[in-house]
Amino acid sequence: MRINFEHRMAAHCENGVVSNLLRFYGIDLSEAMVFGIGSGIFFTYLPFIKLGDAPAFAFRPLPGHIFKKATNSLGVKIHTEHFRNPDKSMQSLDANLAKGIPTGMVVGVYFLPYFPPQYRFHFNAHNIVALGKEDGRYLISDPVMEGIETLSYDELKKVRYAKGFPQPSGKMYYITKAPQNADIQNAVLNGIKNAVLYMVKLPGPVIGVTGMKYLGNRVKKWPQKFGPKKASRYLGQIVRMQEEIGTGGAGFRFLYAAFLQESAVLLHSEAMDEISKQMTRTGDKWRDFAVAAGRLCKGRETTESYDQIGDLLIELSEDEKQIFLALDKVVKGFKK
Amino acid sequence: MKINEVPQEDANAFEKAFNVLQYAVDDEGKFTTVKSVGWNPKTVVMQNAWDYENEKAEKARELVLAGKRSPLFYHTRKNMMNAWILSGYTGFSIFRVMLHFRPRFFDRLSEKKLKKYADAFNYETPDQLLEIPNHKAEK
Repeated sequence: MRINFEHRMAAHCENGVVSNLLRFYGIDLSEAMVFGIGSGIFFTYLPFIKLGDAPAFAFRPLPGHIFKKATNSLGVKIHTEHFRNPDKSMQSLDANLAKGIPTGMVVGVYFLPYFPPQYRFHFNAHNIVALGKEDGRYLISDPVMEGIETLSYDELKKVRYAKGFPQPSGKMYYITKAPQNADIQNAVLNGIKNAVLYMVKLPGPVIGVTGMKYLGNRVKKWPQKFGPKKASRYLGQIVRMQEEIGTGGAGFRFLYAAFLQESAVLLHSEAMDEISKQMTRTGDKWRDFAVAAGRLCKGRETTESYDQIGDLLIELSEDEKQIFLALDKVVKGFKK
Repeated sequence: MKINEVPQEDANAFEKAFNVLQYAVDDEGKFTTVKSVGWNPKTVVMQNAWDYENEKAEKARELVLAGKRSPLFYHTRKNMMNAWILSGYTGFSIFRVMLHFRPRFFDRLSEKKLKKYADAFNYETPDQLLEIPNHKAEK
């Protein structure tokens, strides 16, 4: 059987899954809107946690955050399940599909057969939706792929039980109840409020714009501290997190600018439209950063140095601070 | 980023070309999505990451050929795993997996246990575990 589920390609897997699932239940939101409502914009630099032999950088909150936040503020009820026994999780999936519920799953990408080989690292927080079973093969809507893909029982079981960090342990989720007319305006305001909290208001040196500043200062010391090879690998890791599959360019900055643009129309706010343009300019700066970092990683003689890159990051942190403080003002203006 | 600025570079840098969606501004200042085949800085850093992994596999290969580690060690590195991840896939404890990285203990492994390791790497037969290439891996 096959559920009548519309597959739309998206930049980011989680936004794409949430947007496609919500559309199935009658809430038509674009990927950018889902991203904004789920407060997907973030930055953190955790030098003490190593992922793949490099420090952890993230341009997004923890996997699953966008789904939880977006459904919560739209008033959509969801159900999430983990399973210890792989076969039971597959039975549960089959039962769901038989009932006609498109079911989202968290999988690892390393053993995902249709995934392009160059992206296959041990990354275990990819999101896909199962939308049916034909001839013993599961039909999979993967938002980063152009069309519907298929997986066999064993393949799906393997990726659902990928090991490493984080372990999906067969996590699956689906929507149980969606409201007829969701209050999107309120959800947008909530999403922005939360993003402002993450980016400028949380204390501590590693999260939000302070994290960017901290990283900027740290980057300058990398060549002396780690040597050129390790330093360029760490720098490469930042650019990978920023530009590799699923950010829509510039570490989600363009995606967020697109969200602000749509919200400006929804809320009739010209100030927000202006902020969206500023966000786009910051995104362009992030791309300049990627170009400079890419040249450094290539190891050729260039004019760029780690000092300049660090300064660029500090400049970016200052720009984004202004943007989010301005957003805070706009959102407070809407409060009655 | 304007639509005409969306990078379309290095389409053939990797075996399989792959489009990703990028957000860009059109002439009226509205955001739309554009497919991008690749971007030079991104290719550079991805290639760097693969070089690092290949280097680790190459070091492991030399150790195996020198008889200091078992073939299992090479295949673990080639699949970008470590004892911890492999322990998760096989159900053996991390300590046991590390013992199996030594030739002495690996040679004594039963067919059944070899099968478990082969399954962890998605190999069809346990014999593939014993294959060590004579040349450096390229990816």
